[in-house]
Amino acid sequence: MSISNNLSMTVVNLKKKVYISIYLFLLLFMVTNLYSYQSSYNGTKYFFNWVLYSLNQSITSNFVIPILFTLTISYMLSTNDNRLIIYRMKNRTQIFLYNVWVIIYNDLIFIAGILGTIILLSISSQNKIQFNWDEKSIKSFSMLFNGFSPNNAQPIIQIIMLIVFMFLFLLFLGLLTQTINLLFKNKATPTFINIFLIILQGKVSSIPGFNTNFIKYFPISHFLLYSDQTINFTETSNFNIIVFYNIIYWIICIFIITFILEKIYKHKQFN
Amino acid sequence: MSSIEVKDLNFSFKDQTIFKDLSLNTESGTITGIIGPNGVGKSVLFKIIAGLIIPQTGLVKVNGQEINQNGFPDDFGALIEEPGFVDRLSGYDNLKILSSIKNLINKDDIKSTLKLVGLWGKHNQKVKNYSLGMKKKLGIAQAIMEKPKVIILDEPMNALDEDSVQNIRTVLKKLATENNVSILIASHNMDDINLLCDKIYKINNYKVNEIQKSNNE
Repeated sequence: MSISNNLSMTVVNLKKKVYISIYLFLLLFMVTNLYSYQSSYNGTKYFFNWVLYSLNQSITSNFVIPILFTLTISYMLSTNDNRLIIYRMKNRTQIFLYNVWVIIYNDLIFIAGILGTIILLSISSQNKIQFNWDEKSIKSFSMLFNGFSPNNAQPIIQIIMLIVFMFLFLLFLGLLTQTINLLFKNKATPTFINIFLIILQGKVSSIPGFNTNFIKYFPISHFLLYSDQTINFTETSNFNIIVFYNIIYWIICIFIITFILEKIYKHKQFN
Repeated sequence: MSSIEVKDLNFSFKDQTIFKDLSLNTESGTITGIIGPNGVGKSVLFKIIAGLIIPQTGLVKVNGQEINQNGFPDDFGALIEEPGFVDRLSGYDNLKILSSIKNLINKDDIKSTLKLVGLWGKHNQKVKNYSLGMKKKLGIAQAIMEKPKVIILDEPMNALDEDSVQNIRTVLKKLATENNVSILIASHNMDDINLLCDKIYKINNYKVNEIQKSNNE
């Protein structure tokens, strides 16, 4: 464990300048979100509504964050086939563990970056912090989400769960990215496939003739609460059941992709 | 006990046979040479010994440890084909990063290794500004710096000037005789092979055959 830890920190430190570019990109899109948030509602601003709004913005959450994350993981793990590094590892399981460490570390960096940016931007908009829904905050929410009513669960609980789902989604995406990267010798093809998959799942509901029943099996339906593709999440839905099913969904997905990645490493020829 | 033991190795790639029932042994405190024409599989054999490539069948042992998909060799150094250094970092920083993986050596060990291969004084230059020969010396340095018991070197003298060749020959001889290290070298240069090696193998028809030192084939 310590070898993969040492190595992941070494690699991350070596390439840490990339985080500045990522943060600038995130900031750019979050400022855009803030602008649309400010122009959507003129009344009292609620901090938790702003967080829910910015986390559920489909362009940021469905496309920008996943694409940035997939590119970051590919870049961070691009030294993976370096023979000088590989033969110093104890075994193939340690290379796999080193991958998982790098993905989790970057996932945490991303979540911290997203939350930090959202909180930082909220300072300028003088948001009111209110822990429970009332008539005014519900009205504010509905204006932001095109007439959609918020779920009864406390806003802060919803935000915590959104963050947990986003963490799990990015973890799954990172593992999937690395699995696809390992299947190809060149770097361009897997990068294209990874970005294509993100765009495909983000746009799946717009595909003509696509059976909408299948959308519930896509990751996109399991990490946002208030998006076009989120099924049956209304005021009356049972929040606990949705949380439970989403967590089960992510555990299964992460387990399957981790199993595949570990198997690929066991049989990979480092030519 | 053999330092490297390869027994009945079979390996083919894309329906092309590379090795068929190949077997070889190296002993501690000796230098073993491998010769053979281009494309015969010398680098592939080294990658198999390093655990980077998994053969279809056969046994590979390094220091008594079986090398398969469950483990890379312990106490082992290798230079295979072009080493992948980080070009924008100095030679010293590259070695520091690699040494941080196993954490077996300190800064003084890196310094003494760089002195040994003749790179001290140029250690702070970025690798992208290194000549081919300097990169080769850095490759040798990373292979020997952790004082492994088994070292495999693929064409270690390529691109080195005559003085550097003499120096590296002396370093390798010393490692084998004084530190009881087992060294396996692949080379096209028969002078290196004849001067350095205690035992020579030639790869031919998917196998290796031991040949006499005087045989300059």
